Amino acid sequence: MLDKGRFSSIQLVILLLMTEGATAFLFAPAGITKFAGPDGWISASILASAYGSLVVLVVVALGNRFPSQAFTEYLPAVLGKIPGKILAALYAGFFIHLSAIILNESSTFVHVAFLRETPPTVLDIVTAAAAAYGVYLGIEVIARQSSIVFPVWALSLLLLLILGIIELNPNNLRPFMENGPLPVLRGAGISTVFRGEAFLLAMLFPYLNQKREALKSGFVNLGVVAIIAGTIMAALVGVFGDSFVTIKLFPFFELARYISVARIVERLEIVVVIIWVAGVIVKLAVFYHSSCIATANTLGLKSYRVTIIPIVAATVIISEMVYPTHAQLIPFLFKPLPPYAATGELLVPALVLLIAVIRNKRESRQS
Amino acid sequence: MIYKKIKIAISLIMVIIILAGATGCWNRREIQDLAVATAVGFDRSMINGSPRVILTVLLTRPSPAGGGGSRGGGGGGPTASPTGTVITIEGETINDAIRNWFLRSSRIIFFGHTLVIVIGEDMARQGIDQVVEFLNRQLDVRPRTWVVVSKGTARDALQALPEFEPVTSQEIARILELDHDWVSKSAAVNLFQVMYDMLTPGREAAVSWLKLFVPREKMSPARMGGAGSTGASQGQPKSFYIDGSAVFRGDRMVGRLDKAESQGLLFVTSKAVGGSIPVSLKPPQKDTSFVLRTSKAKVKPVIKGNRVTFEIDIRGIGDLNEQRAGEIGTLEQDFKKVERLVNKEVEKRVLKAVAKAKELRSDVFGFGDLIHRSRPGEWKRIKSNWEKIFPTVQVRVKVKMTLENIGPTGEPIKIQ
Repeated sequence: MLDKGRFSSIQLVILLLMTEGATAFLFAPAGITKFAGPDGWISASILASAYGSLVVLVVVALGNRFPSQAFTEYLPAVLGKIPGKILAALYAGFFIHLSAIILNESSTFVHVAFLRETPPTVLDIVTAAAAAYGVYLGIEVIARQSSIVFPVWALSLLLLLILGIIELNPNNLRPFMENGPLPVLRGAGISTVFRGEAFLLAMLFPYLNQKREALKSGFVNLGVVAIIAGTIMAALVGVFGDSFVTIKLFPFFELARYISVARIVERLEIVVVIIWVAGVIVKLAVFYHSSCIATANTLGLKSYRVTIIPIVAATVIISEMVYPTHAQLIPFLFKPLPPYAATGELLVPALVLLIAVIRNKRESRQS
Repeated sequence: MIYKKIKIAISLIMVIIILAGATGCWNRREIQDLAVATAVGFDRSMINGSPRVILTVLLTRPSPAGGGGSRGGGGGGPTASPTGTVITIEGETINDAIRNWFLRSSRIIFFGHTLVIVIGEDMARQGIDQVVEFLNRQLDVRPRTWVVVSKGTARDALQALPEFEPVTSQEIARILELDHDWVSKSAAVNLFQVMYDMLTPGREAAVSWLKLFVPREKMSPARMGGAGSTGASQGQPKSFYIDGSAVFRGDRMVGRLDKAESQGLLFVTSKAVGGSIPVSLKPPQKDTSFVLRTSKAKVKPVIKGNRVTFEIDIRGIGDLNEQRAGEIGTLEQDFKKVERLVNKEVEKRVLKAVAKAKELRSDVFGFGDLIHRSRPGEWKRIKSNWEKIFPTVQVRVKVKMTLENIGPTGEPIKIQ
């Protein structure tokens, strides 16, 4: 085990909640609504969490077999030395790629909506540096930092939702399932990218204080996220109508711009930045941490800290080279990413679990 | 020891860097470099044979930081003329026009405080999709900015003198804000609602219609010193008022609803929550006022093949605060009598609005949208030729207004 930190079940719930919610509330709604129309709230809540619970079940089952190791650590034990290492290396790449996407999302929003003249690279570096510092200090610090930020994050989100819902027109949520269940399922496909991030539990499992409560925490997280995501979708479509939500890049930002209470409480869009920065740094730190651990496991390093700077630099470069503008980012998020993420977060872990069950591999008692 | 000192040194350097970065963003725009637009007008016209976009900007100019200090914070020093400054710029596209602004002005134009968007009639009739598209991409212009269409050009409309507020844009915005609660005679929509109406299938936009006029009060012989002679209205400053709504089909203006018709429209969309409905107890004169306090409409489509009928059920509450002497007492049948007349009048206005909309072939009521929301199966069948079906829809209106309050008096004044 490369990180000596420990955190509790509640911290796990908060960590997973912020990790998923951080980018989902801003980037997911437009894509979900594009497919699911007014029924997006079903896609984002029930269907996505149903998928999420599969991920949690697989991941916790794996974790219970290897309670003191991270996912990439026990792959060689399950699959044999060489295939295990190769898969661990692939996972390191997977995490680094996802971190780069998250980093790019973070700078894209601020660049498009606020600091139009600041080069995204600068925004990338600032955010990445903050997250990297968290990774340097270890998972325990990230978990505690997320618990401190969480109230600010959640209350700001709640504030905007409450003020936004005043304008809700229930007619906008009709008709219900106009084109049958298929569009709703496709909408849920977009949501799975974010809900599937519960897979990080596989990388965080060894650091849990109360490992028996992992399953419960996972499900509590999925339930809360389903409520939050469903409310956000219902609020956005209810206020704006599905056509408007579809054409906008950041519908939630648009909601914050639209809020006006008695002509005094206005121009709240800056609150979105508070939510955004608070969430993204936590999310990025968790992903960086997993990237570093996976890389260190693959290379058999004694400390994961040496990998921080190369990985952060790599994510900044990938973010700038592969997704220079949101014209590259948004199509990627809504088209190839859902199956890609599902492969890494559900399919492969499920196969690994299957092999572990068949070969009856579990952690030996003394280690 | 030396390690600790290095650590302190690095921390100090970091603190300085972070503090330096915390003072501002990449670029800065100082307030004394800005010209703040409070209203933007869009026109289209031919200049030297080529079509141009004419942009009219109504500005307030923040006073330079040095000079304004002595005036104190109290009233906000008026450096500009009372109506603000109106600047007209032209270009091949909207953004071209905005950039051409810099050929003429030393201030950076700032749209963050735009209250009103005025669209000239010509532009509206030729299509406003470019305007909406442009505004949709703007981060400074807010989705709650009011939108009006002006008779004549927007350039002239923004030159009009406000009568109550310091700036024309403020006055237009306040008038539209008060509309729902006090008169309910104009569509009064903001930028988001215009976009919503244009984006939603089976729904067209109706936008308030702004008209210039020379205030009659200013032409009164009493004001003119008794010499109210020829050409008095020439050279008189013009003011403006809201006169019903402009009706769009797609992004093109196709006609207008007058004030009564606009009220009919607001009744159907449940937005009429104020305003008075005059009725006549002793025809032919209208002599009694029913003042609306709230109303709500339920619209139900009845579809048989391609024949669509809408059952509109309007319920509302209001007060009586004016009547011809001696007609209405505190008796229940008196109340009923007024209610009957009011119901008739509301029904008349709704039918007039529907007839006008059908004539213009523009579904401003969102009837198509309503079918979509409540009967998605039927909508799929008729949506492709909804534009042809809409002019043939039938409407059945049922109005039930309740008279609730007749003021602090029981019996009417009986002239003896």
